[in-house]
Amino acid sequence: MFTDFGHLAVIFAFIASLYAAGISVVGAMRNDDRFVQSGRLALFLTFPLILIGTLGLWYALITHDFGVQYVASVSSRSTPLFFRITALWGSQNGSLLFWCLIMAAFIAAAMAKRWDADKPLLPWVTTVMALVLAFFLFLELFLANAFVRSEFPPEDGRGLNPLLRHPGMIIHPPMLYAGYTGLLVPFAFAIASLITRRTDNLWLHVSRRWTLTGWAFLTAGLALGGRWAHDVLGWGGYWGWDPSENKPLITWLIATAFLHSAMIQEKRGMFKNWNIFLIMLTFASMFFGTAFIRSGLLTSVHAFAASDIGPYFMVAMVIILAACAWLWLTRLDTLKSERALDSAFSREGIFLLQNVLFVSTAFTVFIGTIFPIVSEALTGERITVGPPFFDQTAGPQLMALVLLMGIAPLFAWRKASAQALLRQSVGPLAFAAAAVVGLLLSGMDKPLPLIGFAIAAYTLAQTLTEYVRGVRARMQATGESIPLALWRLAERNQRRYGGYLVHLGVVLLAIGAIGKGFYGYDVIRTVNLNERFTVGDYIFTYRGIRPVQCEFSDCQTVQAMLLMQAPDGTLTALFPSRDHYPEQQHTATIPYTAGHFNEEVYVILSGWERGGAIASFQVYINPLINWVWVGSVVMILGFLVAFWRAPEPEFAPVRSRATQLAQA
Amino acid sequence: MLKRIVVLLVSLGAIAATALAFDARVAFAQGLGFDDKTYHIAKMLNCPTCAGRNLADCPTETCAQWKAEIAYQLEQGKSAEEIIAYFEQRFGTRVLQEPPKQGSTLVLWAAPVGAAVVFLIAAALVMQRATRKPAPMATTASDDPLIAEIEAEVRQRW
Repeated sequence: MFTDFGHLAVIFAFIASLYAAGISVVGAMRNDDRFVQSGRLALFLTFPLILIGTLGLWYALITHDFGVQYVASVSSRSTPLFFRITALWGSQNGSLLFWCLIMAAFIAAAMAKRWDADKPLLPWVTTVMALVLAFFLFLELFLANAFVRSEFPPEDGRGLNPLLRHPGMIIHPPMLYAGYTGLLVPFAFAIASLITRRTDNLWLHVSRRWTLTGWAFLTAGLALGGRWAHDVLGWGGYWGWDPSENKPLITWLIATAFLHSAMIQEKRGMFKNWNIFLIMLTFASMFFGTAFIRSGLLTSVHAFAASDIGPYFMVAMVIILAACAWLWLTRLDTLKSERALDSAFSREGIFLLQNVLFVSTAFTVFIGTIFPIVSEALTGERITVGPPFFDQTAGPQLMALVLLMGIAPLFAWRKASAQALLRQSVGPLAFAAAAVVGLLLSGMDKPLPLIGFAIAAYTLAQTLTEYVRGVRARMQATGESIPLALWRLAERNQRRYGGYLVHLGVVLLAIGAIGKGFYGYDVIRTVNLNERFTVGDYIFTYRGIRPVQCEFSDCQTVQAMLLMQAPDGTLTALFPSRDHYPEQQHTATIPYTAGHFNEEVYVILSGWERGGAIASFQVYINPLINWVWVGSVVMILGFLVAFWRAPEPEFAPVRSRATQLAQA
Repeated sequence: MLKRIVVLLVSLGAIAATALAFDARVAFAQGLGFDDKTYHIAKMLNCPTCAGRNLADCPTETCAQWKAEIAYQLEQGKSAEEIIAYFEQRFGTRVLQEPPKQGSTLVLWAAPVGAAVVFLIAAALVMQRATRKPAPMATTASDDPLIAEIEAEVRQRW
């Protein structure tokens, strides 16, 4: 009953969003604030309505209402309460509803803000957001309805997909949804700015915090997705260049480019065209990626089953692209730079270079991801583009970006001096050289990772130098102690030092990726009971397998025991296991990790025979992989520093001085 | 008598050994017991039944058969390249993890490089166009940067 009420609420939310879009356009055309406010309220209202809908579905999930088809498909009587709650986004239909909820929450927050300063944008921001929300609600209601009841309710449900029973997978989708919808806000502001022919940077200014929030959620979502793959998929790694990983990565790359180039527009009034292009591209990549993943066009490990929402996405995509292109082309005159570039050898120049690299990396990942489909359509041959392609093409570009990350802060705005640049680089270059020598002495002589580590060392030193320089300056000026100076430094310039902290995180992540990518290796060993085998510096002894209690009632677990002797003689017991879900016909390999911080030993039980007399193990040695997680956490910390309570400077609609002069 | 017992034991041993060896082949078929060489060749191939996974990581029956085939061909003395070529010839390019840098998949490899070059050239052109031209003599008379900037903007606008 309550569930059906929820269904009704979502239908009302759909109507409200359409109304909001329509009435806002009318309000803007007639220049009547009453209409605009009505639209704003209607759009605001979608959030409580969708929340009621979500609560309705949750109610059905919690009370085992298997009459609701979705509930029967993602839960069963044995599903624990926690997973019945998270089953809301365990499959296509429910996750679409959940996505709508998060989108409506972001929209409501945007609608609730004070609009005094940017009123002209309001009706159009409302319209854009309302249309996007309406589209997703349309999909939810008409093509992937989570509220549909079956005529003959089954006795029991099918249970949650075993792969999704991991904390990483439980938080990862909401994070990504929040990331995408966070980025919807700057898109809506950009479109509103174009429609109203504004020439100033208001849209960037107002939406900056939203952009940052969306970006941070996307970052966290990617990191958690990697952690999930590492813990659950049994690949031995954290990143497999799978389509559903690539999709958020593409959006992340473009959004990161946008975050940087937005700075140039804010500071120097340049790159206006480019910023509009980037935010449109960010939105398009999100939309396009979602269409591909959710329609089942791209096969992926964790894609949703094939469904018929693909064509609708495609039609919407074409409309959006056409509308964007038209808006952009008819408003080119409003996007003129306020200033000319003084020199290509400047912060502006290096930012442009970095932006180009971000976009070309995103393009590389995009091409690799969709090539199988294109190839099949054109030549009839379906090929596979595996990780080697991405490693070889996107890898070097990402490394170049890490290098730029180190160099760029040295470039002065307007015109940089080569001498100053060299002077400031001496220390970090020396550090990088020392790192290379150290690595060579310890026997690492592969050229590619050496280059990678050298770049990482340089950027690391350079970024730390920025902090040291700032702290020292404060200490000299104010006599503060080091921790206090560091605190004040970050407090006084949150954006800048938060940004550098994100950079530090990226460097740490890069170090982890290089370590795992170039020095990681894996072997498979088939051994008899009590037989010993050696992998790297570790000696393993196979001590048998046994059935153990599975974490969930619908599965059976077989656990193997290995004794691992580390080079220093310490013994560790390892328990890799396999969970078998008979009803779902699914087997999950649950890895067991050991080793030390800088070298992870990751063991998978790949099979056994004769009751465990023989067993096979895959052993992965993953050097430095933990730095990937540390780096991700540091990136999020950097975001918090940049975001937390940062007072937003008042926006004065700065026009170029020439315009002011002309008006005077 | 002793001789007979020895013969019997030896034969039994031989049978047991054969049985064990056979068992190993069965194990291959079930995705067990293949060695590192097989494993690493399997890493370079895709299994048709596991989306987004390489052959080595895929636990399905079909994949187990493919792995057994690799192990068998290795035993026959074939090299890794020959085995991969065999699978490619039989099932098409789709079985390769890394598409070849030739033929129809060359486009794939060329695209990122081409795009990067085009983007960089475009960026260089944009930068060149956007860069302030060296001001003519008459206007450099003023040392005031504000005036210079205003003039630059006026020039740009008109």
